Amino acid sequence: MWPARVRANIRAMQTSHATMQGPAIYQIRVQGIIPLDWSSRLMGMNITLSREDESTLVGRLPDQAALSGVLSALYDQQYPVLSVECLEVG
Amino acid sequence: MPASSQIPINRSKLYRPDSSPDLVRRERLLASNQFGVGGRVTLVSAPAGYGKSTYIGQCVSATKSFCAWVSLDPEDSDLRRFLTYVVAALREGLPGCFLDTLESLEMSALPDVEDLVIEFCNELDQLDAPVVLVLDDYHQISASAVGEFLNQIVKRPPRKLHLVIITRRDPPLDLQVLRASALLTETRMRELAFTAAETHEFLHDILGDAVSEQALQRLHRRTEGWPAALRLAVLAAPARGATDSFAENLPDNKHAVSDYLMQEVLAKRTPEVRTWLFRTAFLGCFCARLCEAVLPDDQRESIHLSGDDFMSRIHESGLFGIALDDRHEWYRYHHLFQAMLRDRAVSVLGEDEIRDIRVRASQWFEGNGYLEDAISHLLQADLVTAAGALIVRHRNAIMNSEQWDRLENWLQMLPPQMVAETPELLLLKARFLRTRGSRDESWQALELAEALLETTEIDQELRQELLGSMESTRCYQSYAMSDGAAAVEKARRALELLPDDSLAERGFALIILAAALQMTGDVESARKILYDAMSGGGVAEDSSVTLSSRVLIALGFVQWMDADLSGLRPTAEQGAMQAASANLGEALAVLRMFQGAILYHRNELVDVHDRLRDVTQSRAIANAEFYAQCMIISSLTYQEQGDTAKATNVAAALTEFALKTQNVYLIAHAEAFNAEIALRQGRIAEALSWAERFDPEPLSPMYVFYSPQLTQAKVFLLDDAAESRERAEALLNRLVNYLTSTHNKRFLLEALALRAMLLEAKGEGEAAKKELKRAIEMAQPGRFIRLFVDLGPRLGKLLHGLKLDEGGLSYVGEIVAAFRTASAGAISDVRPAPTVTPGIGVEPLSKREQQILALLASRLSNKEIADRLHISPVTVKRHTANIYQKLGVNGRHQAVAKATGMGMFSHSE
Repeated sequence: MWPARVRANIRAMQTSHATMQGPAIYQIRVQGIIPLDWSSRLMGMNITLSREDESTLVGRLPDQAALSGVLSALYDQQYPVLSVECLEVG
Repeated sequence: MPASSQIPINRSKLYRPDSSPDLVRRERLLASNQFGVGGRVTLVSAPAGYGKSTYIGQCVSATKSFCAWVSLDPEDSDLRRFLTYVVAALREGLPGCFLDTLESLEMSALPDVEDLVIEFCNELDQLDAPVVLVLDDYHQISASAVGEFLNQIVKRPPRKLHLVIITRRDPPLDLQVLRASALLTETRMRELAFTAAETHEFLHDILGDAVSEQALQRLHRRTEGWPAALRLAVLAAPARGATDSFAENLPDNKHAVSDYLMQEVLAKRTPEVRTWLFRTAFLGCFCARLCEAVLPDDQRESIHLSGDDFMSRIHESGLFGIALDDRHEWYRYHHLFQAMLRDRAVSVLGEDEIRDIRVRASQWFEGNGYLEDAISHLLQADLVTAAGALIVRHRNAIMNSEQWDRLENWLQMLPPQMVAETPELLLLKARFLRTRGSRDESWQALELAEALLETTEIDQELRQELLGSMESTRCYQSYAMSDGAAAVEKARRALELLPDDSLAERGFALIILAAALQMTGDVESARKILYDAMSGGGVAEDSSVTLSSRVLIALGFVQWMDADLSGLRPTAEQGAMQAASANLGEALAVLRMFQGAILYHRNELVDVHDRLRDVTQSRAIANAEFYAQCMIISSLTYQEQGDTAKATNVAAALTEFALKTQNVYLIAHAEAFNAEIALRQGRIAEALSWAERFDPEPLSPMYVFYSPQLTQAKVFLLDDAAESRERAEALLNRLVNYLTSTHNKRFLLEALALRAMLLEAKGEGEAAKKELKRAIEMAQPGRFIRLFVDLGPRLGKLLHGLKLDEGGLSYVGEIVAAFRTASAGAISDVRPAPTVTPGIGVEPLSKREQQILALLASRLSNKEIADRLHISPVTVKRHTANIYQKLGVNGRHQAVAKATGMGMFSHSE
C-alpha cells in the first residue's frame, strides 16, 4: 500500500490536466509503418506496430514543444496521424 | 569578371539580435549553462514569445568564444543555401577558414552530405578555439538534407563546436544519445517562463512604483509568465497611475490576453504608424527603403513619415523590432508580434492589398538582387505565373555563370504542374538536365515545350529565343545521330535566332556548329567561324568569359577530332585559365579533359594528375560527362605508371559515380572502361565477358577522350579464338567506315592501327604494314605516342620496317623509344612492362614479379637477382614461386619460355 501522501499525489496527477509547460505521457497512432530506429529522432518514443499498416508511439514528453516536434516530424515524413491521446499528466 | 558566389548573402540573417535594454537579464538561466564549451549542443525549444533568442543573445554576450549566428527561414531547407549562410556566419569572425567547404558550395553540383560533414568537421577541428554556432528559428527547416547534415553533427559533436539550436518545436534530430551523455543542455518553456519575481522586476523596472503589487501579481497570473505578453503589457500600459485598472481589465484567458494587449498597443499608435506596421507585417525582414517600397503610391504622398523615421520609431519604442545588423539597417519583427500584427492586417487590408504588398516587395527584392526572396513573395501571393516569369527574366544571368543548381532550386519552388505546362520553364529544365547528362529527359522536356508552343501565347522575342534554344538542342540531337550536315544547318539557325545575351546557349550552339562542320570534313570553315567569334564577330564588347571559353572549347573539339594535339594544347591552356578564373566549373571540366588527353597521348604522364586535380579531386561535380572523362584519363595514367591498385580504384569510383547518376550513357562508359582496365591488367576473361554483351551500335560521334567501341575491338583482337577475331574484324571495318565518313581522325588512326594488328595476326604482313603506315601518317602531325605504346609489343614489332619519309621515321623513332622506356622501366623500377598481357586465364604479375621475371630471363642466379633488387634471396625465391604458379609452369626455363611466347619480352630486345 502507498502512503497516503503518495496516493494523494497519484490522484492529483491523474486528475490534473495537461499544461503547456509540463510533462505528460502521450500515445500517438499513425497510419503506416514507422521504422523502429526512428525512435531516437522522435524524442525516444517507443514505436510498436499495432496492426497491419498502423504504428503506435508511446512516450513521456517534457512539454508541448516536444509533442509539437514529434507531430511535425511525422508530418514532414508524411505519416497521417490517426489519434493523439494524453495518457497521463506528469 | 562574373561574381563567383552562387548565393548572394543577405548579411542581416547573420546578425545576432540586440538584447533590448528593457529586458530582464536571465541570471537564473545564465548561471546554469556552460556556454561556449566545444563538443556540446544546446537546444532551446519553446513557442514564440518565450524570449529564446533574447536569452541566447545574453549567453553570447557573456561568453568569450566567437559566436556565429544564423536566422533561418524556410528557403534554408536547401542544404547549399543553409551551409552558405552557416559558413558565411562563421567566416565573419574567422576569415580565411572553411575554404574547402566554401569551395564545395561554389561548385554547380553539391557533394554528398557525408562528404560535406567530414569536410566541415575537419575544418572545425583545425580551429584554435571552440566556436558557438547559433541556428535561430530551426523550426523553419522542413525534412531535408539539412536535417541529415545536422543529425550527423549532433551524433558526434565536433570538439571545437558548441551548437545552439533555437526552435519553436523539437527538431527531428537524434538527440537521445547526447541527452544520456549530458552533452546536451535543454532550455524549455518551463525554464524560460518568467517567475513571479522576474515578472515583478521586469514590470517594475519599466512602469515604476505606480504599479501596485496586486496588479503585478494579476499580470503574472494571467500571462502565466509568458514573456511576450508581459512585453506587450508594457507597450499597452497606459500612463502612470492607471495601471491598476489596466491590470484589472485583463481577460482571464491567456489567449484573450495577447489579443487584448495587441489591440491596446495598436490603439496607442498614430494612424500613420499603424499603416506602416500593417503593411510591413508581411515582410520577413525590412529596411527603410523596402518599407517605403511596399507603401502604395497614393499613400506615400500623404504620409509624412519616411522609411528612416519609421525605422527609428520601431527602434526607440521597442515595438518588437529586432535589429539584424550592427548599422541597424535591417530589422525584423519579433515572430509572435509579427503573427499577431499580420492577423490584424489581414482583416484591415483585405486580400488585394496584401497581394499588392507582396508584389511590391518582390519587385524591390528583385531590383536589389535578392531573387530567392523575390520569388518567394510572389509565390506567397499565389502569383505563380509571375514567379515563373521572374525566373525566366533572370535565366541568362544565371545560366551564363553556370549556376545550374540555383536554377534547379528556383524551378523546384514552382508547382511541378506549372513547369510541365510552361514552354519557357520546360526549356530551362531541359538545359539543366542536359548539364546533368540526362539527355533523354532533356529532350523529352524540350519536345513537350515545342508542342506547347503551338497553343501558348508568348512574347515574340521570347518565342524566338525559345525556338533558338530548341534548335540548338536539336542540332545536338542531329550531331549525336552523326548527321553532320543537318546539325550544321540547325546550329546556324539557332545562332540566328538566339539573342546576344544568351551567352551559354549561343556558346553551346557554336560548339555543335564547329563539331558538326568538322564531322562533314570542313575543318577550315569550323576554324574560321571560331576565329571570327573570338575576334569579336560574335562576342560582345564586354567580352564575356562564358562565351569565349565556349569558343575555345569548340575549337578544342575540332582540333581533338582532327587529331591535332599540337593545336589543341594552347587552346586548352588558354580556355582552362579563363574558366578557372571565372569559376566556370562546367567549362573547366571539358578543358581539363583536353589537357589531360594531350599529356596522356604525348606520354607526359607525370603531369597528368596535377592537371586534372581540380576536376577529379573536387567532391562537387560540375558536369557528369566530362568529370567521368577526367577520371578515365587519371585511371589510365595510374595504370601506365605501374600503379595498378590506384588505376583500379579510380575506375571503381567512376562506376560508383555513374551508378549514382543513374545515367545510362555514363554507366555504359564506366563499364566499358573497367573492361579496358581489366584488359590492361591481364584479366582477359573479365574483359571478354563485357565485350560479349556490349552492343557497339548505334555508333555516335566520338568527341570525348574515351570510346567503348575501341576497347571492344581490342578485347576481341587480343583473344585468340577464331570467333573473336571475326568479331574484331567486323567491328573494326564498321568503325573505320564510320570514322572515315565522320572525319574523326583521332579515333580513325587508332582503328587503323588495330586493323593492322588484325591483319598481322591473319598472316597478311604487307597489308598490315600498309594499314599501320596510314595510321602513323595520320598521327604524325599530332605526335601521338601513348596510343601506340598502349597497343603493346605486337604493334611495336610491326613498327619496324615501315616505309616512311624522314619526318615519319623520326616520329616512329619517338614511339619506339617510348616502347623502350616503357619496358626498361619494368626493370629499373621506373615503370613496369607494358601490361597488355595476351592469353586468357593468366593472373597478372605484380610489379616486383615482372621485375624478377625480366631478370630470370637474363639468366642471373637468385643471389644475383637479390643483390640487384636489394632484397633477400629467400624473398626472390618466394616471388619466383608465385610467378611459376601464376604462369602455370614448373620452373625458370618454362617461365621464361612462356613469357616470351606471350610477347612479354619482345620489346625489350
